[in-house]
Amino acid sequence: MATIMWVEDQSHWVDRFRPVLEAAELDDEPTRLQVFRLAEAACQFVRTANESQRPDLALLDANMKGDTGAGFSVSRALQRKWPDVPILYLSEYSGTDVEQEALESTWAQDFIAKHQRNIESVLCWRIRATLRQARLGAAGQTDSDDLLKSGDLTIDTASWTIYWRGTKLMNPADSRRPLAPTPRKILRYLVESSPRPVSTNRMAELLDADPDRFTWGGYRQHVRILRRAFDQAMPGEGRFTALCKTDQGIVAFGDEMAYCWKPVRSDT
Amino acid sequence: MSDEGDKRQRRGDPVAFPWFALLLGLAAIAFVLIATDPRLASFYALPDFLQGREAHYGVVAVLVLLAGLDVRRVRRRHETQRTELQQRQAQIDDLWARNKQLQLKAHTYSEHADKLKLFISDKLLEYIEYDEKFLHFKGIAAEVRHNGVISFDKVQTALQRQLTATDPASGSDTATGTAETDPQAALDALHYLWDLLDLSTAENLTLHIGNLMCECEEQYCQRLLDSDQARTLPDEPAYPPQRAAWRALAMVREEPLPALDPDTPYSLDDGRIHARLERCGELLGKENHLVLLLENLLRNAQFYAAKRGYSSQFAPIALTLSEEDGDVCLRVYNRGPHVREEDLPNLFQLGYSTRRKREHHGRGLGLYFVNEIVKGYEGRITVHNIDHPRYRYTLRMSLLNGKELIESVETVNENGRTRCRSAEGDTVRSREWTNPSPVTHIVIESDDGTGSVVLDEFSARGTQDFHDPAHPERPHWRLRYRPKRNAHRLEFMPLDITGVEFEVRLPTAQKRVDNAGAVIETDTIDGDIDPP
Repeated sequence: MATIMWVEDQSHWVDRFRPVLEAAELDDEPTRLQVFRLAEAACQFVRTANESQRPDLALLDANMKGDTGAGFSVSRALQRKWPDVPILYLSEYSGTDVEQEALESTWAQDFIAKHQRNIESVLCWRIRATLRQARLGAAGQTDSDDLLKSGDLTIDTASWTIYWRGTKLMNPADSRRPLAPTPRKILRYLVESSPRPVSTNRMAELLDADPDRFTWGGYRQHVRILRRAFDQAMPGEGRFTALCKTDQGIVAFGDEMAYCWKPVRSDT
Repeated sequence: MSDEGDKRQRRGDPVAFPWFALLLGLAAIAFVLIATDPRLASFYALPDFLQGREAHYGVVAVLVLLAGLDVRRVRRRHETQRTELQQRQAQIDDLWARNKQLQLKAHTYSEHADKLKLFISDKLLEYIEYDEKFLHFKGIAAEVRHNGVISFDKVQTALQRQLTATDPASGSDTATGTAETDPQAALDALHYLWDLLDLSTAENLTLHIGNLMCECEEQYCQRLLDSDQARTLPDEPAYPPQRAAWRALAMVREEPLPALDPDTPYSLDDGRIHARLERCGELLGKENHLVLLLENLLRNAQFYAAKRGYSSQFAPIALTLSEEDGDVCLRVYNRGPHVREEDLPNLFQLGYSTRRKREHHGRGLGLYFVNEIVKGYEGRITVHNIDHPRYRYTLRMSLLNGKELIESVETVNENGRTRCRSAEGDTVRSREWTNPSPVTHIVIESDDGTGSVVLDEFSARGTQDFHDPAHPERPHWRLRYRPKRNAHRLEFMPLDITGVEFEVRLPTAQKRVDNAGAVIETDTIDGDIDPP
């Protein structure tokens, strides 16, 4: 059962979303809501709560009772007490400096605009994604049918999200953007085929792509994108690419125009 | 002047008393007294040669000489003093003049300083005022969001309930429905209003749209990866730009638009607006943002196309939508005045407008919004001043009597007007030919690279106009046919197409995903790992 700590001062939103969130099985079980109308009350709860009262996720409003920093104070209290509790903001201040501060200074995972179409579905979808990511990123995660693991690499086959040592792989050209679908698919097929390599033609088959259009050059380009995405998820400069030179990670297989996934040793 | 002379001049030359002449004079008087009194002469034992007349004359001469010398010396001294006085006077005058000048300068500078102080304080007040205004508007924006969003949500919920309560089959199409009667039209209008408010109260429009694009791209990738659609997305991350363009057209027209069929290209030409909207790849983000962008461009086009002196033989506004190299390409043309070169760099700046202040419009917001939205999409916007180029046309006219006539027409730009060059070399508005037999068809070839055009639907009665089909959005020429017994007249008139065209290019969702990270360069590391 997921426990969501929700700090919201306006009754309209509490009345509107409470039934939606309680009815939604965000982690395939009923959801328990802890609603706080005041930031101070929420902060006090965080300070005095024991580990059994630890929420799985915090949903905060930024501006409460005219104080734009109210949500941030709760965020800071949460960070001090439970740094790994994911924080989401549900606010009408998207696109303003409030959003910028929430994402840059208060370790928020997401900033959801209240004034968007289909807000209930968006809210549930993003809470579900955050909870799933938190579970996958947590140590001692349970095995699931939807998970494909190889050493420090975890691929969520349900959402096609790839985690490397707990960090989600993103677009290497812009870390705000998602990793493109084709490199994700390629990595999954490489891991599934490991230790056998996957040739260009075989990859074209797996991707259901036109073999005349899916060339070795394209395959190699997607692999480069993957390597850069791994580099981005690791501290330091080009560490994963350097690992690939030591016959780990995504390696080229001879001169057969093929690639192979070789698990990376934990000590590297 | 040397230092010594300068010192002397400052000290002033002392007036030397004529001691020498005075003593000598007294000595001469004493001598004369002694010489004229024999008792004194004998007492003082005056030599004989001094007792002579010559000696007396000599002494007198010496006295006269000394007196003369003294007079000369005094006069020279007087001259010198007068010169010195004049110099002193000149120095004093110069000092006074300088003093006056300095006083004048000080006065002027103090006036300038006062003005500058006033200017600075005014500006400071202005800026403070501006800052206060900014903070004030920021506060208003925050208030709109904080309290307005609940009202928006209540209205939205009520409309959605009304929509779900009514039978979807009986719901009218938003193309023809109005907000008064159609809940869906009202809901769309409400969403448009809120998206407009959301954008206009955002701190950074580009960043706001950019963040939205990232969110939508994530969902779009999810949709591509979940081919079986097992996990339904909360909202549609992409939209067809054709629908957005059609909605923008509907907003700037008073009459309702013919409905849009999403599977076919959309064409419209009502004499005021020419539109050709092709089917294109989807765009990420909110449809309303593109509607706002196009609405601003179209309203801008409407304003300038209505300027005096820019009449048009065709629809003065053209909107075209097509897909080129993975980009959605939107072009908005108006037959208005050219944008001045000096205005081009500032055209998209906040608050900049080429319209006169007294006019109601022209707050410098429209094009600023347009540019910010384009930047958010990581697209490009360009402005072109359209000129009528010189072309040469060849007309092959086939007549009913079997004859074929070939005519050549050259169009030129003369003082900003498009004209034809006649066979004699003169420039005329149009070229005309009269034939005794009706025209069956005409082939018009142009050297502009568009190839040849065949016109063969000539009627036996009534005046018929044919516009350049190669350039439907701004025809380069008009052919008028007036059939008359034994005198079938054809008139070829080049049309003035000078105007302004805004071109917007936005990457489609597919292009964004396909090119995501494609800028990775080959480097030595990959070269070392991968076979060449």
